[in-house]
Amino acid sequence: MISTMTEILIVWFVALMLGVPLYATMGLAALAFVFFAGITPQIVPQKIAQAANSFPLLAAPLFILMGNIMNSGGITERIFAFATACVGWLRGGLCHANILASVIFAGMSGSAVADAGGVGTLEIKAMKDEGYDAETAAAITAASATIGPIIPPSLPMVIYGVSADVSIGGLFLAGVIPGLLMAGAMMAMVTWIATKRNLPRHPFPGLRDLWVAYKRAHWALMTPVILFGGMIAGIFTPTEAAGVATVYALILGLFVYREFDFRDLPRIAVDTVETTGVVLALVMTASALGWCLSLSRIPQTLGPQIVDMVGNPLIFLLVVNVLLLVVGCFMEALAAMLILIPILTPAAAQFGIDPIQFGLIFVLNLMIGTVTPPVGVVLFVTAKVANITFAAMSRAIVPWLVPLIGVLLAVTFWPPLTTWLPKLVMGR
Amino acid sequence: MEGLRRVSDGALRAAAFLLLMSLLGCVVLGVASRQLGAPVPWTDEAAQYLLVWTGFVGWILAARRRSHIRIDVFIDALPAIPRRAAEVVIQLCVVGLTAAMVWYGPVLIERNLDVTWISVPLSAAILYIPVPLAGAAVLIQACAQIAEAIKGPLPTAAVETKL
Repeated sequence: MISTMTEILIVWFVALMLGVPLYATMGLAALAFVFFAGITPQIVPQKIAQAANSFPLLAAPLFILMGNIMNSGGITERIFAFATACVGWLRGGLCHANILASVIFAGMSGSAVADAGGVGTLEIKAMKDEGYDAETAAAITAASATIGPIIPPSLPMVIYGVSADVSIGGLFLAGVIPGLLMAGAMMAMVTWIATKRNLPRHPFPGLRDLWVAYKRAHWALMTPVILFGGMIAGIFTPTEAAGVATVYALILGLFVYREFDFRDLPRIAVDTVETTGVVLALVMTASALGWCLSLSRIPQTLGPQIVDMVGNPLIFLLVVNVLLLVVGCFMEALAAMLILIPILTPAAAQFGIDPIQFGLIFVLNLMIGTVTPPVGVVLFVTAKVANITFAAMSRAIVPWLVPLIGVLLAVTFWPPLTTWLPKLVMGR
Repeated sequence: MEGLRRVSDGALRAAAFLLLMSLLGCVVLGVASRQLGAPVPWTDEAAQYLLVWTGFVGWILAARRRSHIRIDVFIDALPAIPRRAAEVVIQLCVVGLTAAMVWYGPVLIERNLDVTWISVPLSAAILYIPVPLAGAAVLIQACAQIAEAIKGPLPTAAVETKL
C-alpha cells in the first residue's frame, strides 16, 4: 500500500502544481487510493461529509463570522482610537498604536487577513495621513496582523486542533504569551527605528481623553474578556465561546454602536459561508486523504525514519521550522498545514515534543509564511490597502521578519513559553 | 440561462444565510439552555449537521466565486493556448471528484436512512443529502468553466485566502 500511495502522491503533487484546486487534488488522491486498494469508493464521500460533522470545527464559521461583524460594525475604529490614545504619545506613536490595535483585535478575531483588511485599513490610512511612508505603514500592519491567529481566538488553531487531535482550548492558551512576545518584540523594534529616524509622536492626551477613548471602546474591549473569561471559568467550550462572542458582536454592531443594520447581515453571512466553504472543502477532503494515508501506513513508517535520521528533538524542531518557513513562502497556510500535519505530528510525538508546543510552532511558522513572498496573502492584502506594489511590500517587510523569527526561535527552544499557561489553567 | 443563474445564486445565498444563522442559534441555545439549568439535548448534534450543510453550501459558493485555493503561479506563466488546455484539464479533475460525489452520494443516503440521530428521532441520512447536491452544483460550475476555457476570455482564478 505504501508504494501505491507514494505513486498517487507524486501524481497529486503534479496536479497541485498544475493549478487543480487543492480540495480536488486531495479528494481525487483519496479516490485513487481506495480504487487501487480495492476499497469501496463510497468511503471517500462518506469521509468528506463526516469530517465536517465535528463540534470543535463549528468554531471555524463562528470565528469567521465574528471577525466579519467586527470589521463592519464600527468596532475596529474604536479599537484603533483607543490604541492611539494609549501609546500614540510614544515616538513613532502610530506604529505602536498599530501593533497594540492588532493585539486587541487579535483577542476578537482569529484571522490575519481579517486584521490586515479590517483594522489594517484604518491603521495604514492614519499613518499615511501623518506623513509615514506607505511602505513602513504597510509593513508594520502586515507584521502585526500575524499576531491575530496567535493570540486566541484563532482559526488556524481550530483547524490544527481538529486535524491533529489536539485540545483547541490548550492551543488558545498556548498562544497568549507568544502573541504578546511578538507585540513586545515589534514594539521594541519600532522604538529603535523611531529614535533613529526621529518619527513623529502625538502629545500625551491626558487621563481624561484616555478615559473617553476607553469608554468609546469599552464594550468592544469586553469581547476578549467574554471569550477568555467564559472559557477559563469553564462556562463554555471554545466553540460555544465563538457563538456567544458572535452574538455579542452582533448586538454591539446593531444596537450599541448602531454602525451596521440588519440589511448588512445577509452579505456578511454569505461572505462568511463562502470563506467557510473554502476552509471546510480543504478540511473535509484532507480528512479523507488523511484516512487513506494512515491506511497506507506512510506516516507510521515515515515517523520512525525521521526520528532515526534527525536523532535530536531540537534539531527536529529546527528542521521543521525551516521546512515550514520555506513551504509557507510558497503555499497558503491552511493548505500547508493540512498536508504536513499527518507527516510531521507522528514524528513530533515520537520525539516526546508537547503537542501543544508543536501546534503553536506549526501555526506561528505558517503565519510568518503569510508575510513572506511570493505567496504571502497578508502581503497581498496590505499592499493593496496601502496602494503599493507587491515588490515594494516584499522589500519593506524584511526587517519586520526579524522580531517574528526571534519569537519563533524562543518558542522552539523554550517550551514553557507555550506549555506553562495551558498547564496552569487546564492542569495538563 | 442568465435568469436561471440569478435564481440559483439567489437560492444559494438564502440557504447560506439561513444555515449560518440556524447554526449560530443552535450553539447559543445550547449554552443558554445549559446555563439556565434546562439543557436542550439536540443543539450540539443539530449544529454539527448544520455545519456539514453550511460547509457544502460554502463549497458551492466558493466554486461559483472561484475562490477555492489553487496554485496559479505556474499556469499563469503559460501562453494563451496551453493555458486554456490546462484549465480544461484542471476542471476535468474537479469533474472527476464531483462526479464521484453525485454517484456515491445517493448510496450513502440510502444506507443511512434507518440510522437515527442520537438526540432526536431524525434520520442520519440528512448528513449525506448535500453530498450529491453539492457535487452536482460544483460539477455544473466546472463544466461551465470548461466551456469558458475553450471559448471565453482567458481563464482566471481569484485566489483569495482567508487565514
